[in-house]
Amino acid sequence: MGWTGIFQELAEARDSDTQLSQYAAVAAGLRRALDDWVPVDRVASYCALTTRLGLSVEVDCVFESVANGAQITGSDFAPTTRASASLYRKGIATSPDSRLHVVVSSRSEWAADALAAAWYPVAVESRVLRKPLIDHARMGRALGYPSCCVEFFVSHNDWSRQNTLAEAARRSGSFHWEANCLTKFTPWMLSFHMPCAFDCKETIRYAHEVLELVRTWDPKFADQIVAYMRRPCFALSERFACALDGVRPIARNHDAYEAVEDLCRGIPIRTRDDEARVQALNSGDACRIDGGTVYIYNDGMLHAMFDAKADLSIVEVPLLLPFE
Amino acid sequence: MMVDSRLAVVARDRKLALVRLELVIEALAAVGGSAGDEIASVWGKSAADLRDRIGDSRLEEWINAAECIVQTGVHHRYPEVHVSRLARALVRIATSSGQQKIDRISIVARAIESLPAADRVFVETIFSEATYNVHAAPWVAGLLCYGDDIDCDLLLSAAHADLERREMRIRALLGLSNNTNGKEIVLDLGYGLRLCKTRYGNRERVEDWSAIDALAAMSDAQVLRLRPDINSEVEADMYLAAICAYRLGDFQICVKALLCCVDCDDDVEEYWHLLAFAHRHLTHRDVFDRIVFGRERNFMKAR
Repeated sequence: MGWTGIFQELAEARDSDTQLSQYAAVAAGLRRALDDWVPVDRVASYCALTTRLGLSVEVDCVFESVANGAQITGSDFAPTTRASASLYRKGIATSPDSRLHVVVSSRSEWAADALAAAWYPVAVESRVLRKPLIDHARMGRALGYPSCCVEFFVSHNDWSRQNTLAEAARRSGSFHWEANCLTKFTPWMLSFHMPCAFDCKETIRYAHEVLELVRTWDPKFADQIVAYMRRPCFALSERFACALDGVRPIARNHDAYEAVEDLCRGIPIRTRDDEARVQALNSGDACRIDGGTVYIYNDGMLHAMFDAKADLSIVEVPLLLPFE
Repeated sequence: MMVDSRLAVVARDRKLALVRLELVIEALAAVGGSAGDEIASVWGKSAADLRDRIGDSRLEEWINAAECIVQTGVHHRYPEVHVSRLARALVRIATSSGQQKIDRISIVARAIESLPAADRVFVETIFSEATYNVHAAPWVAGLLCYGDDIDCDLLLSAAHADLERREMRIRALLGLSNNTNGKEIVLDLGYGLRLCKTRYGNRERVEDWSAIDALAAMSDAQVLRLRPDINSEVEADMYLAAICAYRLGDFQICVKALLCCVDCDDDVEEYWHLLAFAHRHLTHRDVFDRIVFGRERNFMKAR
């Protein structure tokens, strides 16, 4: 997308166009802080930009991706963060994909507060170091997430046993597009946190506030966000989600669709199975969920099928989420 | 196998005062002489080394512990437990040390002399029996029994009394029978909480936060009720104090308690990592970085 103005500068400084709306939210004080990963070789220009925006930045550590097959003890505890961490020093020599984990806020004390709890489960000396559970709650609060969602996350964020999307869906009376968190790895998102339900009032309120803020900065971008988020989604976990275009419900847990868009292609951990399953969905025009099995049809004929997994330190639950 | 066993018996009166009892073997060896050498040979440790680690003053504590053991009658109920060498050593110590404790030590020694020796079984038996008697005899408020093998990380056990409710919660020797690979030590913190010690050299595991994570769901008031005295000298108590403080956001207290923990045992990843995170909350990023990325340890002890 052709970004303009401050969004363009942020996208260039970070070499990424994700979280742009969240930078606007932080700058405007709609949320207390955010955390981000900045290419190490762009840190200087990034800090200059954030200073110009009146934002405080706290530096955590350098993330480097871990090669496939590398022996990392405790990797089961890091289903979405497969990285090793090292100490950051200015001028440090790093690999091209090295990124500096930072915390950003409009107030320095908020940034420091968020940084304190912002450790991720990354490998140090080939062993994953996790933080205590209570720091997840502290981090959620420090980032300004709704308290109900923080509490929900702390209770259900256990990837090997629970599926937070399924839990949120189970608690939902309706599925509001404003609470569609599955687009968070794309530019077209309004919140980064996992909502406690897809009709969470606090999440919906926050999404509208951010949307209106973005609209004042870039109306076209705001419209695109709405269109992007306002699509039904198919999801297995926070690591596998697709948006469905042209959806026509056939029955409960059975939708016809015209196209599928992979919403998680940007995350670091993707398996060959993930790619194959996206392809399978794309090769069909309807899918039906029966328990843990997904049936994909083409012209009314069974075309492909796959089972949800629970053996990769993550519990998959097939879900059709009718965001409206 | 070297075994560095400790017994701590909570006894005394209804005020439930804790009596800290020290290492049996170290106490014996501290007295020196041939008895110390004999004990050292039994446990595969040099007497001089043991002697350096403990002073004579702790012999009294150990004798109190031994008397308590005898009172529970453990040695009669479990004749397969043999501690004759320990008993003989006791007598020799009493004799050679010239202290006025011969009678008391002899009573203990005679009581346990005929029992077959198997140190792990012995400790386990004492633990179980004392637990039984704790329930049977209200004057005993609790029992803490734990031990470790310096080389093999042998778990023994621990138990605490819930003093407030006067309800014993004994965790029966978790890991004692199946922890043969020397990879883990488990200390019972009471209240259903456990400290699983992870050694740096154990590359197959990451730190275990189950105890502190269990506190996350509790209210502040509940955690405050659990928090033991910060001035306790019992390692498990100090860790419980540390995780309660961390949960409550009292990071200075957490650091203080953890420094006591690492004084007791400085090869516990749970201690060092929680110490690092506590310093991170205190905005002492340099300390966090040195512990986590530099794996520095000694500089903390100097603080």
